[in-house]
Formats: sequence, C-alpha cells, structure tokens
Amino acid sequence: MSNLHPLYLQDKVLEKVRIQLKDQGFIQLHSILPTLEVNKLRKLFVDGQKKYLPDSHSYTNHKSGQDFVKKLLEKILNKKIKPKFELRSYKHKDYTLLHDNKVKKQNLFILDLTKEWNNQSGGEEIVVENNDLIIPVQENSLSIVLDVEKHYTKYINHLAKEKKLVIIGYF
Amino acid sequence: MQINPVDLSTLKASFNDAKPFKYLVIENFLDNPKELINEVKQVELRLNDSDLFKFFQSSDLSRNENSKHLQEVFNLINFIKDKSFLQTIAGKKLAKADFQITKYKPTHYLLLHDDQLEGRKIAYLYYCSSLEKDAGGALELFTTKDKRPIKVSKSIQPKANTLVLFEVSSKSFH
Repeated sequence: MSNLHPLYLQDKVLEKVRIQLKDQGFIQLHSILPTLEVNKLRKLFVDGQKKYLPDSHSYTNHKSGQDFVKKLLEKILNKKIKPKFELRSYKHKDYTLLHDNKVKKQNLFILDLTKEWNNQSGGEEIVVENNDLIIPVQENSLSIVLDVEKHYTKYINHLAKEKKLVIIGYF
Repeated sequence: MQINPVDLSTLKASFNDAKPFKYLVIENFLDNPKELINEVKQVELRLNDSDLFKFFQSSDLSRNENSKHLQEVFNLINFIKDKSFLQTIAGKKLAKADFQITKYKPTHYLLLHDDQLEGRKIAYLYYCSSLEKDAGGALELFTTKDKRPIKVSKSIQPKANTLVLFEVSSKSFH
C-alpha cells in the first residue's frame, strides 16, 4: 500500500513490530505516514460536530469513512480485522473522563495527526492498568494497545495552541 | 482573627433562593486572614493527578485539631460548622467537617463532579488567594436536566478571603 511510510513496508520491520506488540501489549510507531499523506488527512478535520457531555467528555467529532485505516492496520497486524473508529479533534478545555460502567476489553488504536504539539498542554491518552500507560501526543504516529478496558484523554490546558487530531478506534 | 459581622437571616434567604442549587458566597469573611494564610502555606501538599483533577493537596486535616500550626485554620472551620452559623443558614446539623488545603498551579484543573459522598451535606471553600478572570480557575455551577449536568449557570471567580458554601445533592454539579 502506498500510503504507509516505506519503512513499514519492510517485512523485517513489520515482524519486529508484531513481536513487540505481542510481548508488551503496546507499541507506538513514529513517522507512520508520508508527509503528503498526513497533510491530506488533516484536511478531513475541517467540519465537525461538538460532542459535549460535561460529566463524560468534550471534543469535536468529524466525518469518517476512511477505508485506508482498515488496510493500514491489517498490513501492520497481518490479519483481517473490523475496526470501528472516529475522527476526533481536541482543543483547550477538552477531555474525556473514566466511567464506572463495566466494559469488555478491546484493542485500542490511535492514529495521531496532530501538528506542533506542546507537551505541557496535556492531551495524553492514559490507559488505566496497574501502572497507567501514558500515550503522549506524537505527530504522525500510530499507537496500538491490546486488551484495553478503560482509558481517557487528559484535560487540555491553555498552553495548547493547536488542536490534537486523531483517528481513534478499536478492533 | 474574627469573622466580620454578617446578617444570618439575609444569608439564609440568599442560600435558599440561589440557583442552580443552594449556595452562598460571603466576601471579606475574616477581619484579618493573614495568620491563617501563613498557616496554610506551611502545610505539606502532594501532587494528585487523575482524569478528573490535577493539583497539589494535603491530606484530610480535620484530625489535626491539636496542631499548634493550624490554630487559625481550626478557628475558621469550627466557626463554619458551628450550629449558630451553618445550621442557621443551611438548616443542616453537622457532626464533623473534613477539610483539605488545595493549591492550583498554572495548567492544573478540577473537572465536573457533584461532591456526593455518603453523609456529606454541605461543601465549603475558603479562598486564600485571588485570580483574574482570564486566568481561569472559577468555580462553575451547572444546571441539570434529567439528573445530568447541562451547562454553566453561575461562575464564581476565586477572591481572597471569600467563603463559598453549597448544598451537596444529586444536582450539585460544579
């Protein structure tokens, strides 16, 4: 597939990725897409619908329908999957909160298309485990975490000058 | 340290009539808060960080009543929970009053919650410092619909030497 960085088209690299994911249950792949592809995808985050339930979440949802996400994940994982995902943007004062509801474990992925993020701005994705896993905002990265029960997006503070842009979902 | 004179019947009416839920703001509460603020500054705090909040906070200090370093703080707490004050204003009889010192630095936050814990009747805050409006940090009270918070209806900006009280209930989202 053309829209994956050439590094991740090498079988040896993909094999290492799969082994690490299996062993550690988490991987964050940097420079996952060519720059042109990242710029193209960022344009999908223009129109959006604010999703605001104060005791649950605050972010903006954008229209999805990106078949390439399924292909990208299948290439990396080397298996057929049926991912469910949405395009979200987060800005100052946005967040998601944890809930007490029991949910089944799912495999989480985050394709991060954010540009020029200040790491002091918050917005990290926190996967709740015995020792919380912190997934930092990382431009042009793909994070995959296996068997996730609960996670949340940290409150984004006033230092955020840009929006956090992600395609986030489960498979 | 003394409490500046207040008209309890006026405060009671204000508390009971408040929207979106019963609350009260008393500015210029103490005649001289300097010693109390000095005591507060000496308390050991630690960073608390979760989905809901990020701030520095002490442990519950209500068991430290004999501490020589918190005499002014306990004078304040004992006055607030005294029946001649809080019971008159809010009509609530209180057995005890927990309290903590909380310090917010830039980028710190506390997101929406209702403060409901078993047996908790009244929540109170005493501000030791002020913040400009554009600095954030306001206490925001939410209206509710079908028991869920909808939108901010009242915003209270932190102002030094101000006491805020509100009734804790299924509606007290803030």
